Amino acid sequence: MLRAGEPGATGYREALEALCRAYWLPLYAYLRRRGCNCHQAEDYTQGFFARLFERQALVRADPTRGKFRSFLLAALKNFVADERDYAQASKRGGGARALPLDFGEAEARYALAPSDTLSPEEFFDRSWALAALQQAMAKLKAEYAEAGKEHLFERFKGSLQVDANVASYRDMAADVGMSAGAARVAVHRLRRRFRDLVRQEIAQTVSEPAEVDEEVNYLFAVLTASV
Amino acid sequence: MVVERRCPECNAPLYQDAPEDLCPACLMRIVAQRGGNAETNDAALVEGLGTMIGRYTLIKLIGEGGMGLVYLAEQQEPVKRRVALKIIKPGMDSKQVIARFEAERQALALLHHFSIARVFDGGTTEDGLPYFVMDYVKGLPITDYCDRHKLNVEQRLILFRQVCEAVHHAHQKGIIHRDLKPSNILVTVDGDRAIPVIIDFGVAKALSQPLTDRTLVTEQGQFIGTLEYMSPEQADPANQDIDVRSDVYALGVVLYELLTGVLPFESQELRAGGFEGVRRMIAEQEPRTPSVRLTNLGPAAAKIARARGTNVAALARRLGRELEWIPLKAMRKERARRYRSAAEFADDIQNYLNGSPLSAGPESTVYHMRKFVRKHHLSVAVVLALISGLAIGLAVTLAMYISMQRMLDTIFGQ
Repeated sequence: MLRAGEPGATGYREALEALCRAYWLPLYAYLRRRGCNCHQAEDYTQGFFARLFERQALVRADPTRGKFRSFLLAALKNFVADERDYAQASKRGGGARALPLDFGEAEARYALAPSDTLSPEEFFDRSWALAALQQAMAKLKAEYAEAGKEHLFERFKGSLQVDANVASYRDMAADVGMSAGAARVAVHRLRRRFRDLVRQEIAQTVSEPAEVDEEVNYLFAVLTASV
Repeated sequence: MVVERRCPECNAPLYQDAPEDLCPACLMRIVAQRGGNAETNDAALVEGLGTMIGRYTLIKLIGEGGMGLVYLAEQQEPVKRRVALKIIKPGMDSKQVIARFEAERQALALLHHFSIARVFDGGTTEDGLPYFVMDYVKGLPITDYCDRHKLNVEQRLILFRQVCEAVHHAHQKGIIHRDLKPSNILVTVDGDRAIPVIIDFGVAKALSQPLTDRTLVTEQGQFIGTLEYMSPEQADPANQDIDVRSDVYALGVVLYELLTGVLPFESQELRAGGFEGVRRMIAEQEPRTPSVRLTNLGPAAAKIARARGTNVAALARRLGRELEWIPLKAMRKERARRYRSAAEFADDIQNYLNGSPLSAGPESTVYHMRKFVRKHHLSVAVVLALISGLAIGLAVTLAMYISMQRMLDTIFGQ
């Protein structure tokens, strides 16, 4: 998890904050899944971050070891256990705003998720995998938009999910006015860039580069198991 | 809030929280698949521009077929020239492909025809994929060329006759193409002359492998290769015996398409029945005659006729009068009943252009009956047995009736 893993390093708090902004939604989703109502979940999330930034929670979960995903969930569980009840939570962390988070959006997203029988932990992992994909996808989209190629992104993004065949390359090529060969290259580049971005995203949340593959495989398993 | 939609790829349900409305599982699969075989090879091919393959530098990707990718490449030694380099997709036994190519190389070197692009080199890339190097031909597939330039029926026939002549030249040198189709017959323009050039001679043979369920269908269940121009004997997995008449068949399909604007069998219909269905359709189902096929097309026919400088009624009449006998003869199921050579095919086209009698003709009624009996021999036998049974019964009854009548006459009559 690179810079965020070294409390003494410069920019530690910024890096940690960026990560938390990217991945707070799975925490909220976990709390909701555990039965908290939306106000409780909101307060716990904010309180948890407030504590996290004071580095009190880091004593028991060393982020340089293992995955940020597991660390964050374990830390959250500890935090919730320590808080014991909602009243105490509001006394301590309640009302504090460690990060400007949009809980309205969180609640909307949560409502869109599958309402099946996932355990809170499984639900957390699934949300986490989605968050990683969404982060990477947003960056990819932004990169294409910046290069003035938003239309290519829109037309080719479907091939991130389905392996294109000869005919679909021809169709896509015709739609954006390029040759089938060029479309193939464009699709290939899009997929490769997306893959790189997701891996970069995941690399921030593990302590060693070698763990990226492991984490990717784990999240893939989570996504296929949960549906 | 579950949405009843499913991912077309992995069939997982798609929820509304999916990024960009794409299936998260599939997206993560792409990320996880980094070392995937097809993917790495794809990457090597697509990203390989500028790299050297053998003596050739890849310049530009110019085409893609079911079998491979075609690049414009540059040769530096011994002469500097532009060539087309075709890299075969992963999945074939490279050693076998190259061995078959080497075996035919001598014969290929003997091909000298302005309408044949020579395949002069072949080998394997560093990744072990077979590749072929041939003359670079800049042109459109013959069907596209004819439509774009709105060639009328005569002009199409004249152009197509040259294709038959070039194929015949190769046949005389002992080379069968095995994969003739519009995308392998390109039309280049030299001044104001259109010259058809056939590419890939020798390639299909090198790539030939027994036709089975597995070679025909990819993992996604899509057919690879071209089935539309494949002769019945090529579609038969048990058959190893391919001769010049398989090329004659393919040329017949190309001519059918040049005349009517559509294939004798709809591609979708052809591919719908799976491997066995395809084989049976190619082997047994008679194509509709071009005139009937054209008139059944509905509104699409008008555009097709316009591209031939005429109208639907006139084109259908013209096809039906005798022109359609030519492609139908070339496409006959039994190869003994096709043109015996591409030259004979070319001659018959010339006959038509001259207004001379054709060697092709409509199928006779006797032929259709014989064919019907052969196809439905069991039902025909049963029906015949029933009819003869009835006839015998009737005859016996009649005979008995008559003898009874006589007996009665003898007793009471006198």
